[in-house]
Amino acid sequence: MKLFGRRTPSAVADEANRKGKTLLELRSVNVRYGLVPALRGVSLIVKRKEMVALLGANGAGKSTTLKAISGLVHPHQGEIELNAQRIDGLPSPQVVTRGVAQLPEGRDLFPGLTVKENLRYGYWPNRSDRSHYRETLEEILEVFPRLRERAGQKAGTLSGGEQQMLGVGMALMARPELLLVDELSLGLAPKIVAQLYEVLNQVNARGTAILLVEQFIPLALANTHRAYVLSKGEVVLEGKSADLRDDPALISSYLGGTTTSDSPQRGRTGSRH
Amino acid sequence: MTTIVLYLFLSLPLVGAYLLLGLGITVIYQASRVLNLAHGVMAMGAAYACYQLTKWHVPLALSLIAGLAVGTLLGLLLERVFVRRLRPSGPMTQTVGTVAALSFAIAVASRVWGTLPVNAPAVLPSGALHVGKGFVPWSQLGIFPIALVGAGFLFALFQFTDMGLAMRGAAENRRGAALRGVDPDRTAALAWALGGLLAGLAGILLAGANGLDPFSSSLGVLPAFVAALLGGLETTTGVAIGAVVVGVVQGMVPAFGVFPSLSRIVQGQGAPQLVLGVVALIVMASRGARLVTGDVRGDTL
Amino acid sequence: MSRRASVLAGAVIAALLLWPFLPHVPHDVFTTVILASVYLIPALSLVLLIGMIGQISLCQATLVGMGAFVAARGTLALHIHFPLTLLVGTAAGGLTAVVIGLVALRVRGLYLAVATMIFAYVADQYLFTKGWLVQSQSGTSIPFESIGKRGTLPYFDLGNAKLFYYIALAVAVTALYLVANLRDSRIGRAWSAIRGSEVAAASLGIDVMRFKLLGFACAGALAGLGGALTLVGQRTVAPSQFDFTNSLFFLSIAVVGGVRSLGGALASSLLFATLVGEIFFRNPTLANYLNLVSSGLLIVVLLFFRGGLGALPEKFRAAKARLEPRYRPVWERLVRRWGPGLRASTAPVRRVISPAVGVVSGGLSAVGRGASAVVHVRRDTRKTPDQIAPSLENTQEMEAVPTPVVRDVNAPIDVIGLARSMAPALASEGPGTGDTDDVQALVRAAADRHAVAGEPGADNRREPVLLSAEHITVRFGGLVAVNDASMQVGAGEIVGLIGPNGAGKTTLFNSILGLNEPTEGTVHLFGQEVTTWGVHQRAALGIGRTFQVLQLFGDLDVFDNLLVATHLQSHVGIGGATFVTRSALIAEREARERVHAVLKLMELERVANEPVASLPFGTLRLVEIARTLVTGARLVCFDEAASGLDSAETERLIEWFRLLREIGVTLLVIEHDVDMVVRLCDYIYVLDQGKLIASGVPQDVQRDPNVIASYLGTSAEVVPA
Repeated sequence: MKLFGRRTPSAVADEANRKGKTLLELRSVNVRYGLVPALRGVSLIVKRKEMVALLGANGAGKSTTLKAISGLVHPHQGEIELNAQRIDGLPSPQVVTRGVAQLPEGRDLFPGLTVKENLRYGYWPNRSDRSHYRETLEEILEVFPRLRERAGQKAGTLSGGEQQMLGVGMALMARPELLLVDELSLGLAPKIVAQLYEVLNQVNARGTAILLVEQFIPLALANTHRAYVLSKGEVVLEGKSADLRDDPALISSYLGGTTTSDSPQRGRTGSRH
Repeated sequence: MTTIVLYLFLSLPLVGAYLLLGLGITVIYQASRVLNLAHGVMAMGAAYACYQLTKWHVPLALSLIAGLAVGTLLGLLLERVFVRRLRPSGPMTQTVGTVAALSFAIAVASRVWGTLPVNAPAVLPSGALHVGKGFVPWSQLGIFPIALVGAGFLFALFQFTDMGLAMRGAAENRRGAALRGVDPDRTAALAWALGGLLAGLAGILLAGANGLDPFSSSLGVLPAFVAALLGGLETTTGVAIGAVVVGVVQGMVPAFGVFPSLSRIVQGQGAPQLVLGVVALIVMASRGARLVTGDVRGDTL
Repeated sequence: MSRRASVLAGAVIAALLLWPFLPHVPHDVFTTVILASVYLIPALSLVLLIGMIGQISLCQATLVGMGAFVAARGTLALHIHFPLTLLVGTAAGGLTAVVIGLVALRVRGLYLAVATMIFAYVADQYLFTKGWLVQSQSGTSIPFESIGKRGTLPYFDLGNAKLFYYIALAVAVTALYLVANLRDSRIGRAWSAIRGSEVAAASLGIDVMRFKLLGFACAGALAGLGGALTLVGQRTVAPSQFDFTNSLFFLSIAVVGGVRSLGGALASSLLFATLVGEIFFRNPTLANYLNLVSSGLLIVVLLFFRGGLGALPEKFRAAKARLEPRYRPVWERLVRRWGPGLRASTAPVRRVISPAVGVVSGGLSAVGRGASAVVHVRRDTRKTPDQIAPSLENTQEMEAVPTPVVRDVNAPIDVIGLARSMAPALASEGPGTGDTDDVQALVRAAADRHAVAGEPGADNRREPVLLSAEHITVRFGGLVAVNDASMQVGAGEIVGLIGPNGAGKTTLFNSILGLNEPTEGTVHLFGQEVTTWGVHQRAALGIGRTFQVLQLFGDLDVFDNLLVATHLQSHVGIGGATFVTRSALIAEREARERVHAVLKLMELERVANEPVASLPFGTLRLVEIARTLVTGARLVCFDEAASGLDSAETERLIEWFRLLREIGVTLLVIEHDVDMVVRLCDYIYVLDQGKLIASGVPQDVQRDPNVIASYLGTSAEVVPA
């Protein structure tokens, strides 16, 4: 299954580059886990203040793409640029200090530390800026009152939804320019997921670009400007989220066969374009 | 009765020493997931450094500080050379690496200072506490409160400083730490430095109390391993409990001399070590499965 | 064996046997060589433990000491004589190792190092100070011994250095030989598997715990032998010879030699013996430096020369290959310039001595070849399948070959029969046509396409039911990973298990295979209840698996990876393996024949001798599948076998799966690729959040609204392509 998209990724990239709007660009990125090829030449861009979705069946390479950006894995071919500077091959701590924060799948909290300590940990990239710490912490706790209640509790004792909130909170403490979100909705009740996406939208409105991986398609498409669809390590579909919603190629990339579809459910937060 | 109290007091220095050493071993394990079989090297190195400096007529206080510095540096060196460099080859090679370091250090110490015990400088006051018919030298007893202070300092470091927070998080979750901008290699190095500092302290104190020779100061760390393993290599409280158990059990062995049937075994040479072996056996048999730390996190880093 | 090599081998053997009779041999040289033999044996025990099994022991010297002291006690108390002394020492070492192993092997890997260290420490401080074991701290002595009566023949004075040299040499060479036998046997392969991947080893039927213990015991026995030998030679042994520092010394010898290499251990023993014998004993002042040098060497090898001395030949060969283009022309020029001149001037001399040289070199060559024959008795040259597996190639004799029986689900897959049936057709095609379709067609023809295993049964499923998982619930702490899931697989089916991320597929899978024990529910395999059985026990029934993250044995080549999988079919025990008995040889031949058959069936013959690390990923997936075929497993579980494959490779995988079914394998496939599962499987189970949300034939499952909702969250309908 090859490319069906309207505009090719490189066309989008060229336009963004011309207008100086590119925040993140991947060019022909190849990643292997030992011998297993996971990404076979993935190219995509994220523009400033954009919210972009990465879709695809399991094993397609979505998480790997995020890991390549945040430095958890290194591509053996291809380039990754943040603000026109190469970041592929850098260890994660260095990528993070350049303004990238990742919310990994499975949250990656510190279960033995308290909620407050976890949030303080999230502030690490900004630790030299002591003056804004209190302020940032307050903002986060405003957005997530539940965390304020549980500030002294160990993170491992929180429920799934609360842990996810904490994860988002930690990522936001870093005041990133680019936020990478991996499977926010996994294992969470719809109401909480809606809340979290509200927060993401607010964050995006205030200027943070977001690249998110999401299994639940309607949610992803309803909350983002653009989306890429991966299959077996390659980008097979790309376009504006609003357009992709009705694209039959999208469904068949997941379940095989060709499809007919009625109107898909939209996310609670309404549509974005 | 007084015999038991006496031996209880005599166990306290052991508890203190094993606490300091066991904490170091645990902190290092948490940071690098490596069992530092060369832990005794840091204790021994610090003790010999302090000893040699006093022989060169350097004031005791300075020698002490220098000794501690040597212990810390040895920790950093071990981490850089044997742990970080050998990481690609796997944990077994890293462990053999620490054994190699141990072997080399013992050989160097034997060569330079000989294998016979030397009189290390006494850092603690001389004299003793009288308990019933016996006495407990201050040079030994003093180890216990110092160990508590050391443990307290470590605790404060971990709980109340940013660096301590960074280390605690990185130990729990390397990937999570890296994703928040903390370099796990740097925190690991710091952990080894701390381990070296504490081991150095223990080494110098023990040398002052019992004399200094390459074997007892490096291999005498073994009971601390058992203490750390008892604590599950996880928490400070666990190590503390382990140190108490191993220290008391070992220290109290001669007390069983009051029972005539046991006195023959107990008075014989090496009895405390035998008891240690039995305790170790029990610890491993019971904790066997738990000691398999299913560490899935460390893979991509 | 080439002429030059055989002459060289013969020369070495002759030298070893004859040089003591040369006049004016200094006593020191004897000591050195004897010392080398005495070092070699504990070094070999560490090679076995670290290099073959992958476990560390820091108490080898203690075990050597046990061998020595128990043998000494035996001599003093029971008046046993040489060579029984050696046996007693060996047994003592082995038994002690078993005792330590029973406790210490419970804990994984690195903790064994601590456990052995503690044992060494306790032995130093307690055990070796006890009078009932050790006579006195300065040493335990056994009386002077001889065999035979003085004045008559034969008479052997065991105190004589020359005699002891031959004894030590014989013991060392025998030990080397036996260890080499072990390494190349079924047991050695099981150890390699354990070292490479314990979980893969268990899935091939290897009882990991038992083999680790066996390995520990063998290493202990070797160490004990070394101790007894020391006793026989020195007549006095003292505890100081067996303390912890000595354990570290033996570790140095083993690591400097390269823990994987027998030749390296030999070279290293010689090196250290020379150091000790020539340098340190000559100058007592230098004796203090021995430990420094040995531990220094250990560090240097660890940090800079991985692989130690054993890796030198390889490095040398690589360097030679690199430099060859440069030195060859120079060499040839020299030969052309001086060659003819030299030849002419030495001609008369050569004419005289040449017959003598011929005779001598002929004799040496015979010796060399004889030794080689003994050593290589079981080393079938796998590189030429014709010699080993003539039955696969020799078509003339294969007249009426019955088609392999595919239906009997309790017997392993008869790959050899299949390969034989293909042989006539292959012979007419000519070997190496290599076209997958052709080979697969041949396999199909051979398999009797209508004899897919099992019979049609109720509800469009097949019988007999090979796997049945009933009401499985798995709880981890408070989390319910699998919630009352039931599934079954009948003979000859291809069944799929799918579900979104985190659905519990892996947990259910692990319950079936024995990697976890379900909180509730039962698992039946081939009619037996196996809910509490271990992984290797289930494997023995006929279930196999592949791994999502490849678990091939990285330091072995493809052939050896497959050879490990014959573990369950041959029953060679420790005796057969060590002494290469006739039945062991026959079992080995059959095992190799089996591997050849599978290589042929899966078209992997070309890569049989390639190291696994160098092959492309798609090929390695096939090797893992081939491995299950070698075991003959009737039910094979594939854990995300398509992960990491591109579309073309996935298509080929589907073809291979279909072929496997026609050979008689029943498949359970876990996949993320729903499209693939829909096209391939007869029946599909869908898990989500631990519960079975759907099951049925692919078309129904694809249309099931629950399934669509769980994957996509849409109410789109899928029309089968």
